[in-house]
Amino acid sequence: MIRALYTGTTGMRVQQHKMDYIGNNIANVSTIGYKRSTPNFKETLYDIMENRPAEAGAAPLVGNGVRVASVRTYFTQGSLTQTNNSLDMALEGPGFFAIDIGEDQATYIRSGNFKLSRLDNGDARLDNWEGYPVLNEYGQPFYFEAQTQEDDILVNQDGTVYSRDQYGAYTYEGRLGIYNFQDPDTLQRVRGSYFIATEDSGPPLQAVGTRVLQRWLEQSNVDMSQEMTDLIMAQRVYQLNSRVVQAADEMEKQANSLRG
Amino acid sequence: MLRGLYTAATGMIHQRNKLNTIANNMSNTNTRGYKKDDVVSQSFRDELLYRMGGQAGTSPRRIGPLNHGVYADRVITYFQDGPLQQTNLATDVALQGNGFFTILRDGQEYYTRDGTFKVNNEGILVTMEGHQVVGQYGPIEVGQADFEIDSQGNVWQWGNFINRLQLVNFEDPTLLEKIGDNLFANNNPGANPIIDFEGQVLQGYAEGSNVELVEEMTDLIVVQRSYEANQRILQMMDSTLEKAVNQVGSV
Repeated sequence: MIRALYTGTTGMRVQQHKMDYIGNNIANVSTIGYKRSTPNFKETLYDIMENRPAEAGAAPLVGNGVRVASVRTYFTQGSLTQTNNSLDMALEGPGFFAIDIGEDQATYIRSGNFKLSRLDNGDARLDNWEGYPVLNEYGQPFYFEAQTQEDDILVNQDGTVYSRDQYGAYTYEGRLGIYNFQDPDTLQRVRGSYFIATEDSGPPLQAVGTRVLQRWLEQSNVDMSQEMTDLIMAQRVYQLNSRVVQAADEMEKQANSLRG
Repeated sequence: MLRGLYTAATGMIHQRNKLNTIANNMSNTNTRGYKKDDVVSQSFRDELLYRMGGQAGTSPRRIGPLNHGVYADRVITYFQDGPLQQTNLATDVALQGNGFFTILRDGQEYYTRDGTFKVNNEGILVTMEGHQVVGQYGPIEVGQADFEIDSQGNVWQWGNFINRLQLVNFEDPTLLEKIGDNLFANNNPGANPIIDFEGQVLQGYAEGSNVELVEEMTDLIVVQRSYEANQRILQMMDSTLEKAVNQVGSV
């Protein structure tokens, strides 16, 4: 069979993958802390175009199409917006908040829309918006006295957390665990937007120079104009590759009808 | 007559090979650093035709040269720069002008135009698949901190020079062999020595594929129609042969 039929199919397939990623990015254009990702393509193997006798010299090579080789997540800073909620926090600089979502190991997330949850014993705990505890630099949750309100909590840019009692005095409660990884591209996604460390990503490291901004949220870093341009491109390339498949089919048909 | 059948068939085979190459170009329209291929055709060697026979004693009459069709002589890779796209990632590096990055894979040096890199868990600059990007002074260790690459390929960190990308160019880049994964191999270093890279390095950019869609589309049409034409000729000869076999001599 004609090789172009399969080559064209690989072209269509990778553009379909690209489209999936674009769709996911666009769907998350207003997700707090979302990081856009996009696939990288590579050529597949080359092999000999046709067999020919040795004296004819080296046979020319022909490629077999394209494949998705890797996915790049852009861990670049999203834009920051101010909110009125004292438990909205944004990271400025690289790094993640540590959250305990009940997996074997700590998970990491970029979005910092937190809240206070009331425990059965009346105490309060700092949770993320899904109700999982936010961890401090020693991997422990933050617990507060029963009367602590959201506005009583003060977070400094270095991640240190203080609570205010009814007399207006501040108590040190610990420091937010903010971690970074040598190779964040190899972090594994779990339950949607959480990450866990892998062997390739290296162990979590205390993020240096990353600031915590209270009453701010980090928006998604998806750029609509970029996504739309990519979408148009992906669609056109998909179309063109389908033309190749059509042409290959047409030619096969002609070969088939040689003895019409 | 029978000779013509084969000539037309070589035409069809050749157009099919060309289509395969066009298909590979088109599927790599979005592949970073891809360089388009083109098939160069070559006709089979000419033969001189003589008419033999006739009356005894007459010398054969010369008719003229003839060849038996066409084949793919070689595939040429076009090394023109692809379009640059800004990505703002420090680990995306693009080259302008002729030249290549050097990549170490399985202990072997390969060359690429695809500068989609990352920093691995040992703080070394690698490709997205984890193959080392070769620097002039060994692996490029940047750690977790920011780094800058200037237009000459020098890598700087906190104002200090730490390494330089090993950028190469070749006397005849068309002799490089594509091995897939956006890599080129130099199989014959003796015949194709490395020369200095004279282009520019751009950090925060990615070089797209240099496939020109309009060109490929036009080529596709040409290929399809030439294939069709060759097929028609084959059919025509077949029907002529059929007449000769079945009708000539029947009363």
